Amino acid sequence: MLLRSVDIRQFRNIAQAHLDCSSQLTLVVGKNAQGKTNALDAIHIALQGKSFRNSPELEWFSFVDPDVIAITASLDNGQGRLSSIEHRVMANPHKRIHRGPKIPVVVFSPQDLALSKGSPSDRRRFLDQTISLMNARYDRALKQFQHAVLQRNRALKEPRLSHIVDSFNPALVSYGTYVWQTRQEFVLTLLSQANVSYRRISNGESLGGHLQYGGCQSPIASEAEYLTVLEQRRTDERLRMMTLVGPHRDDLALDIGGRSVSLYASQGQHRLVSLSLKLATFHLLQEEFGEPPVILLDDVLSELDSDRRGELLRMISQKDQQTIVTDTEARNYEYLSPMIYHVDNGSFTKWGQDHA
Amino acid sequence: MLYPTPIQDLVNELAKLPGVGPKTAQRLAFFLLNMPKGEAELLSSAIVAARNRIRYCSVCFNFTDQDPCAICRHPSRDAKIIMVVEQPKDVVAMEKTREFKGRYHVLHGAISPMEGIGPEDLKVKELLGRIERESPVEIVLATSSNLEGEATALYLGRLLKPMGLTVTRIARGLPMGGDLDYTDEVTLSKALEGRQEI
Ligand SMILES: [Zn+2]
Repeated sequence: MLLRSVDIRQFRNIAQAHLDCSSQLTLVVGKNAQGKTNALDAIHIALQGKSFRNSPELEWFSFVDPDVIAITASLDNGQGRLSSIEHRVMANPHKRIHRGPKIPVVVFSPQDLALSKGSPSDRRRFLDQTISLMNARYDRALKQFQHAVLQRNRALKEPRLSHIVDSFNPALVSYGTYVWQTRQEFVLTLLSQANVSYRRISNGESLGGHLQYGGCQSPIASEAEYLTVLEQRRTDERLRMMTLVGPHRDDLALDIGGRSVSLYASQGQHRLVSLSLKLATFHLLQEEFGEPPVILLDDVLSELDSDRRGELLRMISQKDQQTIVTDTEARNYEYLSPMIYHVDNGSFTKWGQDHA
Repeated sequence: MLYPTPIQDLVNELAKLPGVGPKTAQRLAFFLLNMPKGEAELLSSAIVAARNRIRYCSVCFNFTDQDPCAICRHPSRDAKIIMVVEQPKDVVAMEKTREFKGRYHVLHGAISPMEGIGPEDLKVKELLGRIERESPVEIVLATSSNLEGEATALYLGRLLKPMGLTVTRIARGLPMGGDLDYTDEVTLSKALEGRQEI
């Protein structure tokens, strides 16, 4: 699969842009806050139907007339057969349409390099987004689970409704157990792959970890077990007015050579751990789909020292790899003869294949 | 820009309808204004007539223009079996199958804490009163298969079982034409549990 081009209309500060992405590397160069990341996010929306920044949709609109966001991507199946993806968002009345396939994509952004240092919810989101790329059913079960948590929490907060809390237990427990099982399975694969990457970029240290089940001492293997733990926390839940047991409180616990990352890791180690998790994601997607996922690099090279830069550059130089990069300068990428766009205040100008 | 008051009033009222935003409300208002006068009057009198003549049936709480409603008055409908549904439209859907010969009870909603709706906001008290008066032998819970419908069925089941009658839940199948691949894991496994010999 080849991404040929992306057209963006009325998305954030981009009034209109056409990006030819058919080279191995497309480089978007510009000063900060000119629209580089917006372009990457638009590409992500085209490929996956959602923003990688997890930004509320309201922020997407900055053009009032017409209040329609349109992002289209043109694809080539590799043998010259063309197809397209269309994503449209209407503000009033609100409507959102995604037409076309979902294309695997991995993002490397500065926030991603803070994954290991960040909050448990960052790591849950990372797990969920990655699993969703490979398993559409997971996404739907997760949404049902989260909906059950919201309903249940609301009932726990309102004394008038506290007698109906338990009515949401079957849904909570059945969707929750499925989410746990799927995460658990994925975490095992992810960590064995991340350990390979980590050893390579960290001079041989080993990365380990496990899924820490939310509100539980040990992993939960069945719906019955979940229900038992839930009932043990019954009084607690009523006191704290929230659902205390479930995947919505999970964490991905990591360790280097047996020492907890969240307690002992240095700044540099956090970065390497985060990078390894993303590299592992890339490899897992490549294995799953039989071809490398599209890579979006959002201004991350400046965050890494030259060795780890080399690691990323090697990855994007692979045969059949398609990458879109944003940076404030072009010089790191010249040897890959990228297609270069210069962005200034939301408008994009093509620099030509060999101009740098 | 502001329209003359009568137009603005019309737009404002239309915009209160579900799924109608300000833009659609404007479009509808201009459509109505361009209609032949007689047609617009037919529409407005139909709204007034429906609103004035339709009320809840005092037995089953379905919409009706006569109290009790046609189903509750019908001599051959089995009063020993009551099907509990969320909305009047569910009665219509069930009636179309011509399979159900009992009577109905319309809750007018489902339990949903996020919308502040508990059993007290539904016609649950009325259902209990009815069971006491009519002593049916079976209650069929036919609330929808989403989270709120399931929670409502579960709540009612726990409430009604101690009253010594049979409480059943309609089977949850896969939606017709529902793609297996598109069905979530839990619905799928429930559909498997509820499988029947053919
Ligand atoms: Zn009636």
